[in-house]
Amino acid sequence: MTAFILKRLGFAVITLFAVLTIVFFIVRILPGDPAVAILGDQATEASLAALRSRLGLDVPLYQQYIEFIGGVIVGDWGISMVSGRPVITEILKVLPSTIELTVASLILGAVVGIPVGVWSAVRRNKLPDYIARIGSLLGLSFPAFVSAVLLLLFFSIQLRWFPVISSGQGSSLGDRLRDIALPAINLGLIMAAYITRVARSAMLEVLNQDYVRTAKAKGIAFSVIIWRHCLRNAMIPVVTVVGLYLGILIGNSVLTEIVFNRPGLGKLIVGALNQRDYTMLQGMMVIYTLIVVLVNLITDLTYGLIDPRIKYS
Amino acid sequence: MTMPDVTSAALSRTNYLKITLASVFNGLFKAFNTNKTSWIGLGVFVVVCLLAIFAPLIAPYDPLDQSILYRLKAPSAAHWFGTDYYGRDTLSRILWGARISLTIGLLSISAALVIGTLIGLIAGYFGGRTDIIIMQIMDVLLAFPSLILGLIVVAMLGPSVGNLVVAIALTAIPPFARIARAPTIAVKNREFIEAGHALGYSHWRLMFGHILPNIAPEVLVMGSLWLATAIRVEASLAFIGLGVNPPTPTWGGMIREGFENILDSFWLALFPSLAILIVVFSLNLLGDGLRDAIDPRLKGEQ
Repeated sequence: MTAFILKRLGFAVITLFAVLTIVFFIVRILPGDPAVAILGDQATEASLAALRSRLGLDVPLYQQYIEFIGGVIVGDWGISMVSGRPVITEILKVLPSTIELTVASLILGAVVGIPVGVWSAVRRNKLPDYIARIGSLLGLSFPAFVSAVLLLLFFSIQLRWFPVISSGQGSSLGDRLRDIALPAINLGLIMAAYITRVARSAMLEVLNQDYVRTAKAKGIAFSVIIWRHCLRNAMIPVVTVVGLYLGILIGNSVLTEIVFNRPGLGKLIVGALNQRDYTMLQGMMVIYTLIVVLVNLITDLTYGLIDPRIKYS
Repeated sequence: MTMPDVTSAALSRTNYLKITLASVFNGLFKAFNTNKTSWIGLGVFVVVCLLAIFAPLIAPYDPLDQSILYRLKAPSAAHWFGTDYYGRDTLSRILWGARISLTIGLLSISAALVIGTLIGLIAGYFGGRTDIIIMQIMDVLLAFPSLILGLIVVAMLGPSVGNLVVAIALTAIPPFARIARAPTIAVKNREFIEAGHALGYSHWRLMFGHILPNIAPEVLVMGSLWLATAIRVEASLAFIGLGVNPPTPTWGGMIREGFENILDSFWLALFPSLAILIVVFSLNLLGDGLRDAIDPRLKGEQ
């Protein structure tokens, strides 16, 4: 177990290092001089030079690289070129909103997706199965911003149930719930579509196993077989896939945050792109990489909790 | 022992290609018939392609024609889908926008399919260290959210059709490499490949002549599913403001513009949204049905 965790940790560190190196070079080959981008093309050469030195752009590339990697480790991610505040402060300010949104939509996705997937597998090739399959296929055909716009049109503009613009920082619990409801429903239903499909196919595979037949022969109630015997075994692929779909979830959260005008990493990265805020972009890529690597690690370790047979070799 | 020589002599290069293509198409055709919903998906997608190809002939107006008198008009007999802020006809813009979506989608996925399959084929066929290194690189690329990667690449290179194709292709290469690798490993240990080795066939001949036809159906099915993703990503980038530059009509860009007037002219965002949904859904219907049909784990169960 310890050896497995160490091995996964080692792999996570290597991935992190590789991506950080790629990030460093991507940001460096972006066309245009960041100093000119900030001060405008009317700036004097002296002020440009001063800014370059303040941003650490006047030292050799390898030195910049060492400083960058060192900075990432100690939490010094540079200063935002636009706001002048530390990148890490800006990111940490909005990170909770994004985490709140993704966790809420993951929970919603699992709560809707797993039962529907199981139900669809059990009633294979019957009406409920067809409805669940078409519904989930439709769900994963929605670009997140399209479903967000449609939800907004219907619930906020037609029915006026929810605010058109969510601030994400309402003070009372009721305000916060109203703010997060539509964005979380939007992301959650898309996640539910993915989870339904995996849960269905995992369940179908488990239902064909010998021990299910044995359990049936012993006369155990069908619902007990499904929920106690099958579901636990079917959960392994579901957990893997949820980990794999994190990328989709992150991409969709960017779009959702824009449509609902909700503060978060998505709005931050689009702002940084528009303003060519290089240090901020670099920081954003670091945080996304950290999140992805961390979630993959957690996904790997979760297997053991669900399936004690996995020996972590 | 003369048997292989006779067959290889009888099978001239063109004959061989014909038979290979026929077997790939046969496989796909069978898959279509096992899962009828695939036909519906294909039908809808073909209609969309035809509408896009003949957009210049069937679009009722010029998609760039502005008219101050007809600004933000609701759907009517003259303008079925209404007009936008500049008085441009929404229906015509959707028809022309289909050309951009399909061009970018088809080009990027074709590129990713060819490059990714080649990478997966090489990794799977040679195995060992080559395999480990290649797949490790693919996994790192795969770990990065594709929309974020696309966002950065387009922001870096600037939004043009060519750059969007590069950005989307880049995010789609790793999945194709993975899809091609697994069946390659399964096929390369079969007897007919061993026989090829014994006959002294080159690695390239075995990879392209003998393994590729066996994995082609799976790769093509993945292609249709990823085409759906590519169209979705292109629309998403355009919505963020990283699409082909205006005034060229793109679906994502139209929703972005419509979103600004969403309170009083909801149709501006609604119709292009439905257009994206129809195309993506038809492709998913097509690919999903085919995948079920060719999935070896589901074979024999119907």
